[in-house]
Amino acid sequence: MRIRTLALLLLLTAAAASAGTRISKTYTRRPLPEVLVDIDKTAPEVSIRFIYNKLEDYLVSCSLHSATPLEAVQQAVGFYPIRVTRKDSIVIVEPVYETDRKIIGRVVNDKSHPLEFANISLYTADSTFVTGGVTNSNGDFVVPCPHRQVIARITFIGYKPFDRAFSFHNGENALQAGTIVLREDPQTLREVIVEQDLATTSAGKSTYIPTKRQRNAATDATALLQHMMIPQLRVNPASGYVTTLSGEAVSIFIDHIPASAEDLSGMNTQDVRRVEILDFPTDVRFQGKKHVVHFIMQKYTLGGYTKLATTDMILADFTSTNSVYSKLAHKRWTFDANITGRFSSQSHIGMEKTETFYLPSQAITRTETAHGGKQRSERKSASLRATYNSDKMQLANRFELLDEKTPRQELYGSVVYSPAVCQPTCSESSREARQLTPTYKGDWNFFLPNGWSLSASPSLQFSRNKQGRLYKEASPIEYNVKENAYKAEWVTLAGKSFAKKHSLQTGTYGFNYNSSMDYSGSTTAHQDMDYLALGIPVIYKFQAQKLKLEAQAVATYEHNEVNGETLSKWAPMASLEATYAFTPKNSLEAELGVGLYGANGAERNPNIMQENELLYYCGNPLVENYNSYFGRLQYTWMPSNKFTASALLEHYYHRDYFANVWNICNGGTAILRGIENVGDAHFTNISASLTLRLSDGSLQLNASPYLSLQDVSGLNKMKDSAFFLDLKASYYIGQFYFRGCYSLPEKVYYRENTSWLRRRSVYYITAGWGSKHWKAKADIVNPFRTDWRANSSTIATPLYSQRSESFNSSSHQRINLTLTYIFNYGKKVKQGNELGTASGGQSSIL
Amino acid sequence: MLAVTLCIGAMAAIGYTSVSSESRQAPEVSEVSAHSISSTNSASSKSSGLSENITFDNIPLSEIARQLSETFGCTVVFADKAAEDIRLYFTIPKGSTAADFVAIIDDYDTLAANIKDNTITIKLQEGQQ
Repeated sequence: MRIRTLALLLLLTAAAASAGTRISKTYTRRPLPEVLVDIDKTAPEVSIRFIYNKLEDYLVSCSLHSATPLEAVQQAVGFYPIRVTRKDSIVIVEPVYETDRKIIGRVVNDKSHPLEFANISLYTADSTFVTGGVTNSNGDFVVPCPHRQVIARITFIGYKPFDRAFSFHNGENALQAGTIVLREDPQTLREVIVEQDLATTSAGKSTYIPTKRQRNAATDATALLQHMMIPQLRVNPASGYVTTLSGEAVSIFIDHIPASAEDLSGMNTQDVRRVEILDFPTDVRFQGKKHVVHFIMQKYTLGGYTKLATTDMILADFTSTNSVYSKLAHKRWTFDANITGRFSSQSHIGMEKTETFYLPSQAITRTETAHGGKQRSERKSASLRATYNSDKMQLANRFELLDEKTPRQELYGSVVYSPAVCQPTCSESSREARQLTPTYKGDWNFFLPNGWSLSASPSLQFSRNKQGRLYKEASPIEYNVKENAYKAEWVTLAGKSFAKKHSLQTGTYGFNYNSSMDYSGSTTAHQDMDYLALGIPVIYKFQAQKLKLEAQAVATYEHNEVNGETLSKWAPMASLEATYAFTPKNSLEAELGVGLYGANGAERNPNIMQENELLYYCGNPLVENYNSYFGRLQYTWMPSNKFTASALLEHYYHRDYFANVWNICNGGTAILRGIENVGDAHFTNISASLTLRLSDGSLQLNASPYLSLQDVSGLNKMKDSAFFLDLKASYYIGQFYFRGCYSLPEKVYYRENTSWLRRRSVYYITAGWGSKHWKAKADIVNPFRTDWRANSSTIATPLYSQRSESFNSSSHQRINLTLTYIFNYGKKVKQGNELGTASGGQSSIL
Repeated sequence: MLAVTLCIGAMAAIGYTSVSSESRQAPEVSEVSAHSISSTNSASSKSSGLSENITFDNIPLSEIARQLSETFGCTVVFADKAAEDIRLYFTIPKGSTAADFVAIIDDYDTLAANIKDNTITIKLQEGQQ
């Protein structure tokens, strides 16, 4: 009954909101107040306010085509120095400048044709710039003038500048400059270069405009980010994973709707108007996310398109990803449907591992050598999303179904023990898994009167998982597990803005995960797990042109129940962030905070599982969450389109964090890997990214160095550092482009695994071609590397040490081929945000 | 600040939806330039708000103040004489009270308004005088 009432309420609200007015009219040299009154009377859903005395001198010439009332007002105002402020349904139109004095006139050429976008600059007698203005489509201008005596300079590309002095007499507020005729200047026409700022920064937001050649070349959203070489972002060239400069996760949104990294693979990059990098955004639609990459797309009202895409990996085994994406928009509704299939067949997988077990009686080394391995996996997903947009709300509802299976994974090897406590044996491991996950995700945004806004993002996911593993060494180890799990997540935020620059937000963050698992085989066990995490934030934000402040306090509650054992805890979190933008070209951001890290389901799983003859592992339901204190300082500099840079310094202090520990078990005959709170850790990261654009952007160069320092105390005491460097170059020629990338070997410390991971260096060359409909690219990755070695990791502790190396195609020579085709339909096409593949369900299976 | 108080008799709630500059009537009192306009009106609109939407189109603020002070039964004081001559366009919605009127005026960057003890004070924002 409640659901029915809620649905009815939503439908009624949607119906009420859908009655928006679209205005199609032409105005020629009409006084602005007259046009505003006309718009106000045409559109009952808005209430326009203005002061006649201030706007009567402004003449309007414009054509409106199916414009919303706000768009109509904005088009009428055009480039006049007039501010349009929207406050719910109220639109206030006022001049930017406080003075009543103004110079009024019209600019035409020597054939009496009006010159649109001519610049009028006012200077004092000592050549100090005072104010300026731009002519409208009819050549009319009105420029406010705070001084009594000024010199006006009128300029237009290809025309000789025109200078004239103006003096206001006592009591005189409006000076008529009359019609000013500019004469052509062919010499200057040849010299003029018009350049748009492709990157600007303000407090908390940096805006980047992709060039046409970047949009043309990019096959998807993350490829576009790679082409743009945004200094505040790192984009992994292989996975497309996007992080901040320091490696922190970013949330990606398209037109205020969240999108996963995978979702972005289907985007039509031709429609990207700009990309915003937001830190602690004030808008509740960003759901309180810390770092946001926001794609602003061209909107469209009627029509749609279909995109076909295929990506195939050859030379190194075979992987093929194919997708069909369709978008259809009708008035305020947009429907997206997507089907994606990914098939992978690998015959070069495996792992070699040397482990040493420091048992009380003796140290035993176990060496596992890989002889071969095969894996086949499939991932199929389908999704449908309906989005409703109006001035009062934005409602998106998405349904996804994901079917993911690994029908076959077989690994062969041999195992040798030293001393020979066991006979050398051949090992054989087989595994199969299947996951079926239906998901609902909603994103509802409401814009309420009096500065209130409301955002709610619920999601519900069911997951049915099945996994079987058989490991044969001296004696077979087998386990089969079946799991039914559901996950509910939500973010609700209510915000109220007041006095134009301040806002207050509160709401709830929620996460509930419930899992029921049955183990059979060598270990028989049953696990019921219920995990609930709640957060109640109170956020204050101050946003001015140059300064942005945010103070956030969150009360978090966590309840974890595993097989009847419960743990409940309240904990506070807080952060303080400030950004100051000195100019639109450089900004400084500082952040201080306290965060909370919690263990996931697998880390809290108490069941003891056997990995090999000498090693067992389990989670710990009683492990304590830990606090992390951090400080961050980031400077972004964009002196010109030719050069952009960002530098970052951050420090983390993790207090009594949890990590893997190794203990003696089974009466001194084996080692058990568990999880405990082990001590404190300090991490310092220093990183930078510098992008240089030469030859009018045809050549782009980027360097991103990264240095991390680790100092860990307690059980896993350690002190070390790691350096990483990423170099990229792109060259564009016509519709073709070429890109080269080299990444140094990377060393990463995973504090919770107590392990160092070493990634091999990556070098690749990309050749691509793009047009409006077709795009093709070939990535030639590691062309001279014929071995199958991939990442390696090391663990060194008093009771256990390990060095392992995995084998797969990730570092092997290979070619990735991508081909996309887009066709449009409908009368008026304006393409927008994309829907993509479904995301897999969470699982507690160890 | 010179404050001259004019008392105007009680008046029913305004019964029209739009006043244009061409058709607007001259103020009923000759001291239109006075800096304070008040009413002893305590009609129902004072507590329950306006009975319908009213659009002021190209009407001087002094005239708007006169009309609404009668309706809301309050006093309007102009701290800046220049503010009286500002001609506005806005719609005050049905149900609005004196406080809503103050909020509307205060929303204009050029103007500032507040209400205290049933007296509305309107002035120009700093820098506008």
